[in-house]
Order: sequence, then structure tokens, then C-alpha cells
Amino acid sequence: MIDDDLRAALDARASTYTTSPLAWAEVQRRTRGARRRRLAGLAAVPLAAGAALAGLPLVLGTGGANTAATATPPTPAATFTYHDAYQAGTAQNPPIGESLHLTGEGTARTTMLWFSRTKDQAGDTRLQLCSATQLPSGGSTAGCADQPPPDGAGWYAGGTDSMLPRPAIVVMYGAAMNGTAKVAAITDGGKRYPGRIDQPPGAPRAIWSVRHPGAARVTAIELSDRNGKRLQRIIHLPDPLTATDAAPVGPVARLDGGVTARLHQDQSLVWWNGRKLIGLDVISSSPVVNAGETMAEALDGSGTPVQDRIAEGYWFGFARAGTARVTLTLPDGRSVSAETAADPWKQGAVLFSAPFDPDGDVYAAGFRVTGHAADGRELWRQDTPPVKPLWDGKPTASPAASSGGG
Amino acid sequence: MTQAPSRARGRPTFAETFAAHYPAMVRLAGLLGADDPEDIAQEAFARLHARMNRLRDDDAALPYLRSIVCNLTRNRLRHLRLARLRRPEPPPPAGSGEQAYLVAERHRALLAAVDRLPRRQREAVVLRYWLDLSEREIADAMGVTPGAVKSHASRAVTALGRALKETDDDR
Repeated sequence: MIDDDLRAALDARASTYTTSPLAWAEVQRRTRGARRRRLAGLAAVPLAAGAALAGLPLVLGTGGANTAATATPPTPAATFTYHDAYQAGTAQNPPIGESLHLTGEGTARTTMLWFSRTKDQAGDTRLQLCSATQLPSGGSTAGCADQPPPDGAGWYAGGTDSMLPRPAIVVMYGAAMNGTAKVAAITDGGKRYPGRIDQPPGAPRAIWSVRHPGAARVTAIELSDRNGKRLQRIIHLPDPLTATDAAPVGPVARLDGGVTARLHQDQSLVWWNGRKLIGLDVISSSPVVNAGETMAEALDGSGTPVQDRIAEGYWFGFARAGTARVTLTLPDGRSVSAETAADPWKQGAVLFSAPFDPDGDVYAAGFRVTGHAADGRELWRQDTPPVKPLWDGKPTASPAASSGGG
Repeated sequence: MTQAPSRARGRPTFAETFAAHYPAMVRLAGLLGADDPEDIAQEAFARLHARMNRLRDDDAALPYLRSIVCNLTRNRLRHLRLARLRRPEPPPPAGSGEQAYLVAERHRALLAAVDRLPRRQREAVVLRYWLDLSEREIADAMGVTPGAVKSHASRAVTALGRALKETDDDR
């Protein structure tokens, strides 16, 4: 019976999850942090300002937020300590050989790649390629992709192609089969984007990586030997990237510069520029809480006056009701402002957008967002401290062993 | 005559709720596919803490936790689909021999099929078959109607049966 099998299988898997003895302390730390932020009312919450990813739960951040109110733009003295997914990931999955350091593109700062071994259910040892990625807003995440059968073949391990919105330049990576000297991503129209092969010293396999425009529909990764003879074709079927499958509710909000926002029944707030999806905020809702969570309650719950992002040439987001104008200021004095508009869904918030395309990484230097009333009074301010790259400068193995792409 | 502490008759404290349900929430997040189930569970409890006094009644904490774990896991997977994140495999079954191996193999095939289910179907399966929740409770956790739960669960079981049949045929 499949019912019995399902229960037994789920029970078996459930029993493998362990809990940390520090869990209670960590929950207490989080609750203390939330309380402090609510009291301060102007917290720096880098997680809420992710360029590519929306919502608090999406990246792992630990440490204390700098909540000091100052009269000047944020300075490099402000600090925020982030969860180091590479450190945690390598502790759990010890590297075989050295790690490879991939330079980030757009939605990722850097990605660390390393091979590790794991045991499957039958007790067989399997190779896996693990990765840890830091996002521009500071948080990091890690995971491993097992070697699929047959032994000896290469495999796709991950990339920024699964991010939503899809970045302008996508990075994909995986393990190469033995003898691989070249790699290329192939689109459904036959266009090829060559990548590179790196052999970290001591690692059991080489690692392939390719970069291609986010708009390209890559359907295969081709691994070849030094003579160009194809060794393997890895079929890659990108997931259909949909922000939500829930129906929209109410009218569409039309903002400055052509940006529009739609709220959906599952409380997904989806941002568009024309037909291009540029952002997604997931506003939790729970049917067991008396009042369903609105945008206003989402802000209140996270202790932030604003949830914003910088993406695709725009700065946009939503803020506390009563805010008439918002301004983002960089440490070098550059700034951008936007008039707000009431949300048309009666969620107790205001929406804003403004064209903004600063050169470089705004999160590296930090920035400040201030909200003003119609009479010009400052209502709130939120500092996003500079994000320190977690792994830049870490000794890595790859460049000397690179054999180029093609 | 002894009198129970008043707290025992009232709403459980946050610490008591944590002690009673934290491991289950970690497991729920893991079964739903979270790459860091403890982070999800801890965030869920932090949110529960912020809303303890807004829950409709004493029994609402657990459904609230379940719904937050579902939401957080769904959001995380939606945004951070680093492909094929390795999920902990069940340990080798007790005993040994061919039968044990076949059972384990069937678990593995079934769990792999669960991993391939669309998010909503996977949630319906885990909440129904692992937590044994009613359709109403599953609907609350998923934020959908009981009718939708029925539909997701039915499609999931059909898909799992088909996947298992294909696995059997391949042997």
C-alpha cells in the first residue's frame, strides 16, 4: 500500500533530522533582536533590502544589527555579521581537495565550490559537489548536489539560473567528467556560450562553469575533450520561473518609471517593468492568526519601516503608511527620491519606485533610506550597513589549473 | 488536595511550546525540502513569539507554527532553488539482507518521487501522511481550501504511484 509506504518512508527520513543544542538560545536571540528593532523603529535590516531576493526568511543572517540613528549617511564603521554558509557547509561536508572560488555576477557575490563525499541509504559512498553563495545583501546559503548515475559522468550542480527574478547574467556550474577540457551552454536555438574548466588541487574532479545572458534559454550543457569531441551532454531543463500561481487581487498599482505591482491571493507582491518580472515580496499570511498579515503587519513584524530593493535599473518597494516621500542616500552623497502612492489593496502601506542604476555594488558601501511626511518631516530612517564579502581573499585553487573554455 | 500550577491550566508558555514542538518543526521543514530546516524552525518560533498574544486561542500555536514553516520553506525554495540540494537520506534500515535492501530501495524511490512533486502536492503529502492532519488542518497550514488540499493530495498520490510503478518496471 502506498499509504503505508509513504508513512514509513517519511518517518524514516524525519528521524534523520537532528536539532542543535543551541536552538533555544538562537530563537531567544532572534526574538530579542525583533523586540529591539521594534523599539528602535529604524533598524538596519539588510535582509529586507536584498537586490534579488525578497523576504526575511530567504537568506541566513546572524549577528546584531546596527540600529544607531545618525545624521550622516552610513559609514563603513557600521557592521553586520552574517552567517557564513561556507564555514557551516564545509564543517558538515568536509572538502576533498581545495575549494574553487567563482566570481559572482549580479545577484551573487561569490560562490565557493568544493567536492565532498556522502553515504546514500544503501551505505554506498557518493561524490557530491557542494556550493556556498553569498548574496549582495550579505546573507549566504549552501547546499550539495549528489553525483547522479552513471559513475564517471558529469552533472549540473547549481547556479543562479534558478533565482527569481532571473539575473541579467546567469552563472551555472557542475562537476566535469574525466577528460573534460571544454564546456559550453547550449540554448534551445543552438547558440553556444563557452565556459571554463577548473581543476582544484586535490579535488577528485574538475569543475565546469558557464555564464550566459539570463534571457537565454539554455537546455543543455556540453562537455568535450581537448579536441572538441563531445563527451557528454547534460540535459538542463530550467524550471519555469513563475512568481506565484495564485490569482491577482484588486487593481494593478502603476508607479513612476513604468514599474507596476500586483498583489496576489497568496500575498505575493510581484513587481514588473513592462512584461519583465523585476521583484517579488512574499508577505506571509496565516489563516490561524485572527488578522491576516498585511503589508503593514509585515513591516511591523520585521521591525522595519520599509522593504525595498535595487534591481533592473530601479529602486522600489513599500513603506509605512503616512510616508509621502522616500529617499535613498549613498555614502558618497548620491541620492534618489520617490513620491509614494497608497497601496490600492488597503494593506496599510505605500508603494514607491524610481529609476536608479548606480554603478557598482551599493551594498558594499551601505546606504540609508529615509521616509518623510507630506510636510517634509522625517518620519523614519533605515540604515543598511556595508556588506563585507565573506570569502573574498580566501586562498583558492583554480586559476592556475584552468584549461579554458570553448 | 493539591492544586496544579495555574500556568498548567492556561496557555503554555513560549518555552514549553518550543520544547514540545521544535523537533517536529525541524522535521517538517526538512520533509518539505528545506535546505536548512533548523533555520526555518527557529524563524518560525521567533515569529510565533512575536504573535503569541494575537493567536485566537490556546490551541492555535501549533497550527500557526505549521503554517509558518510551510510558508518559509515554500518561500525559500521558490527563491533559492539551488538545484538538487542534498537532503539527508534516511539511515540504512535495521537488519540486513535482500528484503531490508528492497525496503530501503523502495523508500528511496518513494522519497525521490516525493522530492519531485510540485511544492503544493509535496506539502499536502507530508502534512497528511507524516503528520496525519485532517483536510481542514492541512488547509490551514497551506493557506488553501480543503477542496484544494483534496485535489493536491489526490494528484500527488497518483503521481507517486506512477513513479513507483516505473521504478518497479525498471527492476
